[in-house]
Amino acid sequence: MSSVIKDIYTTDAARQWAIFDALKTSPKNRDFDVIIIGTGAGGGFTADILSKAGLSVALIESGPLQSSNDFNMNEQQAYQSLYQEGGSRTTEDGAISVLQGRAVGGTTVINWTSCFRTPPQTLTYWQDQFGLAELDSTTMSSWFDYVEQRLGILPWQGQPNRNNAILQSGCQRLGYSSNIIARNVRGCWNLGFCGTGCPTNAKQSMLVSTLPQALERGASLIYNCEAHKILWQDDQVTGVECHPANGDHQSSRFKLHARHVVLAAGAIGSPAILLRSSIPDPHQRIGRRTFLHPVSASFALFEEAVEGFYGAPQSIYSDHFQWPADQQIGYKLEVPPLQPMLATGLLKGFGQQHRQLMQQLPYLQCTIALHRDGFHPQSPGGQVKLRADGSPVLNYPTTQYLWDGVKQSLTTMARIQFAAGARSVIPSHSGAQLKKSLQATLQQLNQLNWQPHQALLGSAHVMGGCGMSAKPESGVVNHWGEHFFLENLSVIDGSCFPTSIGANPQLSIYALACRQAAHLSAKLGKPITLIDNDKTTQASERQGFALTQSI
Amino acid sequence: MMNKNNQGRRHFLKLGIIGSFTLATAGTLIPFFSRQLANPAPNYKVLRAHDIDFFHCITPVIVGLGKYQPHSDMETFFKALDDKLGYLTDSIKHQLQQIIDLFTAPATKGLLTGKFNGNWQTFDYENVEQLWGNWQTSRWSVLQQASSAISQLVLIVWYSLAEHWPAINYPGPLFTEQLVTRPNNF
Repeated sequence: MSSVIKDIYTTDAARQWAIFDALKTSPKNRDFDVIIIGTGAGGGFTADILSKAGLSVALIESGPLQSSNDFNMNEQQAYQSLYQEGGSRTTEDGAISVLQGRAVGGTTVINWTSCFRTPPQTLTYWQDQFGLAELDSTTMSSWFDYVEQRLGILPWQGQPNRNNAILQSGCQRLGYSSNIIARNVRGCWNLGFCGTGCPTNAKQSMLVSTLPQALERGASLIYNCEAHKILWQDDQVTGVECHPANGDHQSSRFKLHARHVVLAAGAIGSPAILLRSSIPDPHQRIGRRTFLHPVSASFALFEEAVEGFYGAPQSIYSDHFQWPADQQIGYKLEVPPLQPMLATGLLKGFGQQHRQLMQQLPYLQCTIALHRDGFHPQSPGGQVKLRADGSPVLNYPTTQYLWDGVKQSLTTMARIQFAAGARSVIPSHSGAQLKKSLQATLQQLNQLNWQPHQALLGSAHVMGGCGMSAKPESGVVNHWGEHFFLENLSVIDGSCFPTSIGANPQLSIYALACRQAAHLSAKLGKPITLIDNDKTTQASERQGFALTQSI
Repeated sequence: MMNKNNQGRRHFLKLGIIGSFTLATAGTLIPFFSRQLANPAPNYKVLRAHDIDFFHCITPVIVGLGKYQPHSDMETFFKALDDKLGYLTDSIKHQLQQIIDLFTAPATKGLLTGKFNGNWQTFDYENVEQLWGNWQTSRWSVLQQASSAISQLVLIVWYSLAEHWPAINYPGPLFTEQLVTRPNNF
């Protein structure tokens, strides 16, 4: 029971940090320059930058504080304690399982470490459709450079595990493009358990990078603490009303006050807080256009062992079908880790066929397709709503446009798997059978019913709901993440994206958060220089910001 | 084979028509039936006695253990399931319990399964297997959703348990001696 890894949160330095478990205590100091709701990709970098600039910061996190000593490669413990709704979050009709983190560090604690810059096509679409001319590739590239250096993001240097290598080999044989995934790791042990919290601190999540830095500078962290609503009057935010994440909410509520509030509770979480707070929303944009990168999955059996449960979970991807010339939905191809719990969650069906497949787990390969939603009128995304108890739920209708894409992506994945030498292939669908030839697989795909609950749809990327736009008619915040109607409220997280990203979103959130936080820091009278970016300065000047506010 | 399928379909359609009544009135019936059965069973945090009976019957079918397997020792599974349910939000927990009430309360169980006498534990393995298969593709989205969600819940809890890993040839995580530690439990 002794680890060779030092847990950052048990060090002597950490004992001095202002960390509060809301189930047991709350801070005496209740006034801050900035309150940040959420400690994931957006909140982590925002806290780091604002505290570095000299601002007093409080971080509110609804999830628990767990660190490397708690991360024991135990799927059962991890999914129920580190994921939203005990790992059982779904869309309102139960059709799409949503894996989303709920812990200090947010989803960055349990993601699979894949890093991609926001595709230029996505930024162009935002410029064309939402007037976000400031977020061009040139401006953003300096922020990507900054984050990549900060988190050690590099293309994976090791050999891809066989699960990934099969995707690579199938693509090569068919002439489809593929490439190596960049990962935010330092000294990775190649265990394969990124999804249950990194036990070696190799993953450069917010838990081990930005948050310790912010805490060292005096930031306060209150975890197991639900931000019930934002307090506001006229056009000003005054603070946040909170309560412990469990227990008697009414009697244990307390208020924190600040000059500025940053909402970084993630897509679903951030719009939910705005809705609970009855924030002005004359154009009814809050919670709308929420996206998921809906995922389909294709399993294949191989003669030689695949052992998809070991090794860096994601090291190869293909964007060959990401930007089709026609109007069909594009998709990115990747693979998931295949530990038993996740593998069975991805494999639709039940009974003896399911059992026989699980018995061959070491020989199973799985390829997934992440569909790029939000770029077409028939892909409007979902809407975050509040249940009667105030908790959020995402209504996400599955359109025919999406099902056409799912059928197409399953066809592509079967081609790749057979090209790589699969003995048999089965799409994740409750009515599907294992087929030994591509022809039989394609025939089956034509015969199956494509509707919710029968075909697997999952998601590990929730985006949107508080989208950026040049105009309040089509978004919740401007390109700086500033709310259109409340002066001292910002939204800095994945909920700001006006569409899905078309790639695993963590690096997009990090880079945008750095840009927004640096801007906010200057706005609060504490300018900070993080990058040497003339383009950004010029963009700021065009917007009429004083030079001292530029970065 | 064709004849058997047709028979199954006719039986299923009949259930479907009855099911529409059942589901439409479930909201009023369920509280009545579940009122006396709301408390967790002894030594459990969430699972009620009739939940355990229900899962005892359907788990071997969902996992695909076959009817000749001994299923008596499922204590570890029920404890893990109970633990998992404890992490669900109240609204999801409530929805799940309502669905189980729908499946187990005598009148609604009879309407949905065609068997009014006896509880789930008296059902044959094959009957449950056929019923569950029908529900996966039912015209009634509530049955599809319920059977799909319960299947996934059972399977992920089942395979999360190390005692079930040898059966699927999963050797477990690497470097456990160096990396598995006493949790902080902050």
